[in-house]
Amino acid sequence: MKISSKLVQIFLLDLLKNPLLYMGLLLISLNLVSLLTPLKAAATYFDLGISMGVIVFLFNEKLMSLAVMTCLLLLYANLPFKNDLQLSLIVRSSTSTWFVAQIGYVFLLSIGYPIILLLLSGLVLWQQVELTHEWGKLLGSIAYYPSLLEEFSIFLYPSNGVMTTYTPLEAILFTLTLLMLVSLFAGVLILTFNLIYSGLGFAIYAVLMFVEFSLMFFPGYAIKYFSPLSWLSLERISLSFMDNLPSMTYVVTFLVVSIITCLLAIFFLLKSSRFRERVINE
Amino acid sequence: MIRYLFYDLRLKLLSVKFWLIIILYVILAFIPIIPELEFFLGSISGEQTYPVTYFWFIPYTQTPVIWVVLMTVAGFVTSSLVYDDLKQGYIQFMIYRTGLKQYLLLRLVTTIILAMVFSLIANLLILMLLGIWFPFGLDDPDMLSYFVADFSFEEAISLASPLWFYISQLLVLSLHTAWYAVLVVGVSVRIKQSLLLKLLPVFVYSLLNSFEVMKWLPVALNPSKVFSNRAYLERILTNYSSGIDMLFNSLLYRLLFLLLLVIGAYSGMLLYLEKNYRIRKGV
Repeated sequence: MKISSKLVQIFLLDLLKNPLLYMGLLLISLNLVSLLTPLKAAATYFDLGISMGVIVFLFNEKLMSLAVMTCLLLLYANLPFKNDLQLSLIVRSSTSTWFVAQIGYVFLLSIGYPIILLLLSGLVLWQQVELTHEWGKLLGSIAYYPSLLEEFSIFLYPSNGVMTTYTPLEAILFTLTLLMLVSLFAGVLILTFNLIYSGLGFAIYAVLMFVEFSLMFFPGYAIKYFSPLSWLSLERISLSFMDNLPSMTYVVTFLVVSIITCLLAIFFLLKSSRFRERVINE
Repeated sequence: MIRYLFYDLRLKLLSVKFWLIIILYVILAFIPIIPELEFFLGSISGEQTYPVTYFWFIPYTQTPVIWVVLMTVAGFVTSSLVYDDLKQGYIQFMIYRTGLKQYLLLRLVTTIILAMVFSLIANLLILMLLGIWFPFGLDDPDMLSYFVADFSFEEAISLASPLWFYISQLLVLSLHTAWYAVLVVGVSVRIKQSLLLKLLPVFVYSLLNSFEVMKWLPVALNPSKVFSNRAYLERILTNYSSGIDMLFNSLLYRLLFLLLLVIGAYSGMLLYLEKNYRIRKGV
């Protein structure tokens, strides 16, 4: 356990030295600025604050959604870690410990990612954030009078359904939990399939991005049940029996079962001595 | 140099990768069109097929996400031209043969030609596929504009002849692809990771978008506006002098913009490589 945590530390240090991390964060920040600046202008105009609940609606905007997915890809681009240092790490620990550490690394990143996104949003909205357990007048007005969106060139659309179903705190917690689960899912998926064949994990992740992209144009089709990356937005999850969307129970079960399946696959792969030898030789 | 140019172009154009990327581009560009086709085929063309224009679909295909995705895919063809040479050491061989300045010029010309050819082939394929369902309205601008729901496109089509409209729009699309390609190749000498290079259009678009929102970049200097069909057609509405002239002038402006970008990329690459690489003198 001690060795695993040491290895996780090494992986995290490796990530901190990697420009991909900073490019990913820059991408998210740029999109947050593009999305939240018009909203800030509207808030200034009406002299109102912006509820932190606004982050729930960030993923309704497709470009932001694409940025978040791209950033995840950049964060996991190293998986499984293959560089000169790794061979000595495997020899000093063991292949199993090395993999447990990688899973720990994915787990830590998937916890850290939603927190970073929350902090970045807070930073962009600085001075105009309203700490309240209500959605606030601004978001409420935009949801009821969509003409304001055009007037202030706002691309972020607060969904009326989400605002009436959840309180801001509930919605934030659900969104952050879903983001964590989706990040974890993406991480273990990339790790597992990259282990089976180099680059296969990225290809499958690209297919999932493609499915999410197609969903924009075919919302009525069954693909919405197989598009985990689209579940970052609460609007894509059923709010009533009438809307024909995947329910929250389905979404969470799908993600948890997929994560467990990937972890079991890694476990069974590790049992094969031929596979372990291949990892060391690569 | 011409010999190398033809060799490189032949190598790229005849590669399986090039055609696979074209297929991917066509599929991705076609996805937004399918729901519209379903509507037309289902509710109108049961009795009669009406002429449509592919460029009518551009308001759909140029929504930010789709446009970024298409440009990223198009970039796969050219993004690693210089990156691979640097990584594999092939640059030393080329510089020995041609000299650094000619090598960079060669690579930039190859990039522009490849990007434009890619865009022309991909968009012609889309036109051909659409032609299966719909005849193309080349003779009757009124009929075309009747079916164009978007106001700016209706105006633009009525200003220019349909044939010129098709040609100019194909050129604009290929120039748009070319400017992204030149930018990516320009910075590829500095970037050490292939994944980052491939995703560069996403960064560039986000950067330009945020600059636009912050009002830091005038429209005339914003490449994503200058090279955008939609943005330009919308601007035509503010000036009714002559449609054909306006489109022609805009092409000239875009060519000038691209030329400036090429000069910038060339100088940047030259300075960086001279400073940071041990280049053997050419013969």
